Formats: sequence, C-alpha cells, structure tokens
Amino acid sequence: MNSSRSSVTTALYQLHEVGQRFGQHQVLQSINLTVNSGATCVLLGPSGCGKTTLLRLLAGLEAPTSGRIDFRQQTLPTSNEALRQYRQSLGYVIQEGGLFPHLNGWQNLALPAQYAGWSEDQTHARIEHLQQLMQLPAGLLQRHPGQISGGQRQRLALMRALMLDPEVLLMDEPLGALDPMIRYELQQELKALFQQLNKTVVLVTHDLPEAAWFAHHIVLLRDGHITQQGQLNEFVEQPADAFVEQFIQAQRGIALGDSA
Amino acid sequence: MKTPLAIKFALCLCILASVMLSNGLLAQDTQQGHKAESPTLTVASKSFTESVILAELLRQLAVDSGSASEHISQLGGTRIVWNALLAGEIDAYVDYSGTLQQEILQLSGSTSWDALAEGLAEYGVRISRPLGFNNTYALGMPQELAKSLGLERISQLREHPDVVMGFSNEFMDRPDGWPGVRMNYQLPQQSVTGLDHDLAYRALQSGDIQLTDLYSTDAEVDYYQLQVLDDDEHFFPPYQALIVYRADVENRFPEVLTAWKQLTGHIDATQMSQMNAQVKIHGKGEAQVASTFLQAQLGITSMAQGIAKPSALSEVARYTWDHLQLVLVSLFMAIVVAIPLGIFAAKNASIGRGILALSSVLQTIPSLALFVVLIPLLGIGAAPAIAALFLYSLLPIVRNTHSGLTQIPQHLQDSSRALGLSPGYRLRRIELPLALPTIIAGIQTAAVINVGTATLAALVGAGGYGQPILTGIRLDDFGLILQGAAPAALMAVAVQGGFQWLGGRLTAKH
Repeated sequence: MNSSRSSVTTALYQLHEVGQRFGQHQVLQSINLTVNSGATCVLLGPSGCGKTTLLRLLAGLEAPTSGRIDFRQQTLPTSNEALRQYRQSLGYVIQEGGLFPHLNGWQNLALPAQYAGWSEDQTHARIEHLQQLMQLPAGLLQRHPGQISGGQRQRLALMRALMLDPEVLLMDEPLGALDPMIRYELQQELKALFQQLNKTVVLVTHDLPEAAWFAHHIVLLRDGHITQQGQLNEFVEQPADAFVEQFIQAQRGIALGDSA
Repeated sequence: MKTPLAIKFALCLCILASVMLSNGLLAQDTQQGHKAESPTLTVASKSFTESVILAELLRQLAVDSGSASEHISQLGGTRIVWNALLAGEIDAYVDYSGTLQQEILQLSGSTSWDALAEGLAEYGVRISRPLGFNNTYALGMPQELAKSLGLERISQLREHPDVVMGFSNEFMDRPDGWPGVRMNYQLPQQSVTGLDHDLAYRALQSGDIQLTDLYSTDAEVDYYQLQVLDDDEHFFPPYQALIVYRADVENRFPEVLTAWKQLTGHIDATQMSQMNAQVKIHGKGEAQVASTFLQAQLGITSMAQGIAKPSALSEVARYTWDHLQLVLVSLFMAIVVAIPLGIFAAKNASIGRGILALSSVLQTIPSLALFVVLIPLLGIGAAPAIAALFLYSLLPIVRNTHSGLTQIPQHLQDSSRALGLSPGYRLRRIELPLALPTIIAGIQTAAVINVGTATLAALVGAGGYGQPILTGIRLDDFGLILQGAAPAALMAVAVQGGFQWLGGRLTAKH
C-alpha cells in the first residue's frame, strides 16, 4: 500500500543549525534534523530538554533565534498570512487536547472547516468519516470537552487535527495524560492510522517504549541539543555517550523488562 | 447554546439603553424648545434647608410676577451651583457674601458689597442687595458642656486641647473654615473629623463630638441648646445672604428682578431661623414655609405652591426610573467603549499598561470633583451624572476584559493559533467566548458600583434614589432616607443576582 509515495523518500522538514533562546536561556542549540515525508519522527528526552520547543518551532508558533527550518525545501515563512496558510497544512495535538471548552465536540471539529469556508454538507461528511475512522460514538459530539473522558478527548483532538486532511501531524505527548489501558489502545490505533493515512508525524514523548513503538526515526534530546538520532537498535547497540546508555537502561528496566 | 444567550442579553441592554438615551435626548430637546418659546427661569439651591427655602422664595416670587419658573433643588455644593450658573444651566440662587468672596473670588480681608459686585461682574454675574440676615459661621457646643469647661469664646479653646471636634466636610476644607480658624486663633486641637453638617447635631447629642461648626441661623441652635462661642478675634467674615443671578436675567426677566427686590433687607436672622425650624423641626414643606412667609411679610398670596404631593409609591417609581436610566445608559456606554479598550490592552502589552493605569486613575477621582469638572462641559442633570458613572464603569470592564483574554491557558492559545485561524476569527470564535464569563463579572462589578454611585447623581440634579436620601439626611428623616436607600440596595442585589445567573448559564458546560 502507498508504495508509490513511500518508495521515494523525500525530506519534508530540514533543520539547519537551529537554535532558540529565551533571554539568557539557550533552550535549543545546533539542531540538525531531517524529517522524511510519510515517516514518524519521535522527539524523545527528559522533561526540560527542549523537545516541546522544537515542536513549537515546527508548528511556526515560535520563530527560531538562529538557524533555518525548511519545509519542502522552502524556509518557513515569517509573515502572519503565510504562516496561517502553512499551519492549515498541519494538525497539532497536545497533551491537554487543546479542545475549546466553550464549544461542543461537533463545534470543535467544524471550526477549522468553517474558517476554511467549507460547505455544511462537506463538513458533515468529513466529520462522519473521521468519526468512523476514530470509532467515536456519534452522541459524544453533542457534549462539551469537559463532559467526556480523557481518551475520548484525545480522539476528538486528533479528529480535529485531521479535519482538513493535513500533510503533517505534530503531536506533543498526545497520550501523556491517559491511563495505561486507554493509552495502550490508542497507541495501537494511532500507529495503524498513521500508516493507513500515510501522514508525516512528529511526536514528542518522554517514554522510550512509546517512541520505539511509533518511530521510524528517534531523536534523543538533552539540555537543548541532540545527543543521538537514528533507529532504536542503534541507541541500544552504539549509545553515543553515557547519558544515552543510562536513558535507555532506565526505561528498558522498567517498561521492557531486563533483557540480560 | 451560550452565544445566543449572551447576544440576546446584549441586545436587550442595547435596546433598553437606546430607548432611554433617545428619551433623555428628546426630553432635552423639548425642554430647549420650551425655553425658546416661553422662557423658564431656573433657580437652584444647595443641599441644605435654608438654601432650599430661599430658592423656593425666589421661585414663588418669579411665578407670582408672571414667569414660568422651576427650582432644581439640593445640588451638591457651591462649586456645582456656581458652575451651573456660569454654564447657563440655572439663572439664580442665593449665596452668602463671605462664600462668594473667599470661595469664588478668592479675595482676603473684608470686602465691600461694591467690590463683590465688581468682582462677580467679570463673570457676567450680578448680585442683589443683602436680604437682611447674616448667616455666618460659628462654633458651638452643648450649653452644659460649655458651662462646665468655662468656654464662652473661641480663643479660650487654646486651653482645652482635648475638645473633640467634628466639622462639616466643607468647613474642614475651606480657607475661611477650620484651617483659617485654627491659624488665626493658634488652636492646638489635632484630631478633627469631617462629617455631614446635619449629622453633626446627632453626634453632638450622642457625645461623639463636643464641638461643631454652625450657621448662626440654624434651627438647631435653640433646639439642641447649643452655646455659640464668641468669635472674639473677628475671624469669620460676614455671610450676608444675597441673590446671585446671571446678568442676562435683567433683560430676560426684568419683572422677576423687581419682585425679588421686595426680599432685600426683609429677612432678619430670627425670621430665617424660624423658617428653618418650620422645615427641620416641625416637618413642613419648604414651598409651604416660603409661601407662608411671602403672605405674612409681603402680603403676597402665592399660587406657586399648589402642587399636590405625589404618593410615596409613585415617587419611588419615578426615582427608580431615573436611577435605572442613569445606571443602564452609563453601563451600556461603558460596555461599548471598555470592551474594545480591554481587547486592545490585551493585544498590546505596553499600551495596555497605560490604558489600565489611566482607567485606575479615573476610578480614584472623587465623584464631587468629577461633577465640578463635568458641569461646565455638560451642564447639570443626567448628562454629567451619566458621564461620571460611565468613567467609573470603565475600569472594572477594561480590567476584566484584559485579564479574561490574557489568562486564556497557553495550550488553548497555541491550539487556536496552530489551527491557522486569523486573529479576528480567533478573537470572535475562541478568545472572547472564553473570556466572556470574566467580562460579564466585570460588567457586574461596574453595574453594582453604578447602582451605589448613582445615588450621588442627585447632587447634580439628576434625581434617582439619591434624591430622597439627600432630603432625608437634610431633614433628619429616616423614613425618607429609607425610601431611597432600600430600593437602591434591592436594585444592587437584583443586578448582582442577574449577572451571576447569566455568568452561571455561560459556564454551565465548561
């Protein structure tokens, strides 16, 4: 499936020496990274390592203080108008869901479509399609985000992100607030979905097993720079330094069981 | 559905406010129209009984001489009446030579009538010859206390530094009041409280204060058995009552001026004191007391007093309507201005700080001071009151709009930006609805404050619940005070409850 697209590997994002500082604080430094079209790239690292900031840079919510971010060989725009257009080709999902509490589920989903000027029929059809895709009961859409469970909220958030059928999904700990059972279930579903829809995904997590499950490409960050990037087995077999080794060991010990 | 509810509410407010606005404007138009055709002479009084009686004398004499005349009673103080006179909102009132000399012309030393007339002529204002009595300031204390302390003269207060003093607020501030007395007599008393003149007698009676300022024609001097301390160093200038009027009255109402001349030199201190007592102690109406005086002294049977007193219920209804009008029109204008200001402040941090600071400063201006500034611009009546209430309403609404918008959680701001929505669309569909409960709470605060502050509107002749409160305080009539205070409190509670219900409806599902 999708062999025509996945057989030709093209770089969707290319980051050159990207840095970001807030006042005195250098949050990101010398980030060089390529995200391939159709691939899932996972930004991994302990909290405070800069992975969320990196995702916000990709979403155009912040502009880097140094370096360059290319999207399809073009530097990310800086003008508001062009940025808005760029963002409409993204789906952005965060841990809290980012659903608007004053709108019910249906209104939350319809918002980007209404702004894009879709007809009502088109919007209805799209929501129905996504509802089947995400297996969300129809009645839930009449409720407000505060009235549904955490797992349902994240499904809804993902549906909204997919509403305009964007090329890229940027996800910041999308499953971080869920209990383990729901989280496991959604991990299964999402991976299938990413493959089925052939989306390029950049996903932030601090959880190694989750990274391993999703990622074609793992990027491990520490204190604002990339310590190591590549396939999971490279991290295990050739850790770049003691920190990588420790990070892998610590999470393998808990979640994957001791393989020794 | 929440948005429609908010819109419905806003619409209702809009309609109500615009109806009231156009009502007010229409009323003003017809008034002005009247002025052009059959001119009305407007007299005014300050908010103490003697002033109200004297203005009533002026009005009845004017009517008796064939002119239409109205009396705007108990305005907030000398400055307000003076500014209204200069603005042409009123034509005449009675003031005292000492007040005119010190407060208006700011002349020191003793001034002759001619000097006074000359000084006032520069403002286009004329004065009559003195009416007769000298209502000068005096200091008084209960006779028994004065006797036990051996106090007869003001200079003797030097030896009694512990005497507890309470003065009317005006007396506290005026150079010819307490500051002057204290300097002139070198008095040692430090702790002095300011209070309403009419409350001072009660405070004397209850022993909370021992000495207060009096007017020598006050009805209470005898009634409360007060000892007036002798002004042995002749500090207080004479306070001859005289009619102060605009120069154009001479052309517009020559016959009225002739009628008023009958009063000059015809009211002595005893007569004035008796008239005051008739109102304050025997509970007669000012109009009735004035007409009795005119009949007894000048042989004039006035036809001007025959207005039947409306029932208390219809009075309260009228106060309520006036009060509601003040509150709603000012609130509506504040909403229209403050919400965009608040949005602007939230989107431009540096200018926003300026806007918030400015609206905070507005809030701290005392309402009387604000009225004094506004009268030259807007005259008296509802307009300056609404303008003042409008200015006071800005801060809570601007502040809450600002904080409602800036306190939207970061993740919601990020998500709305990440959806690629334009700033205007974000504001309309996401930010304002999210901030709405906070904004409504700001409007609620403004409305409740307005209901309270609007009681001061009576000081500039705007009516409302302040009217019976002012009169009630002046006449020491608790029932009358309640007629204004109780419905004002009810209105505040209702407004509070209404907005809470609305806020609750809006956040029910969040």
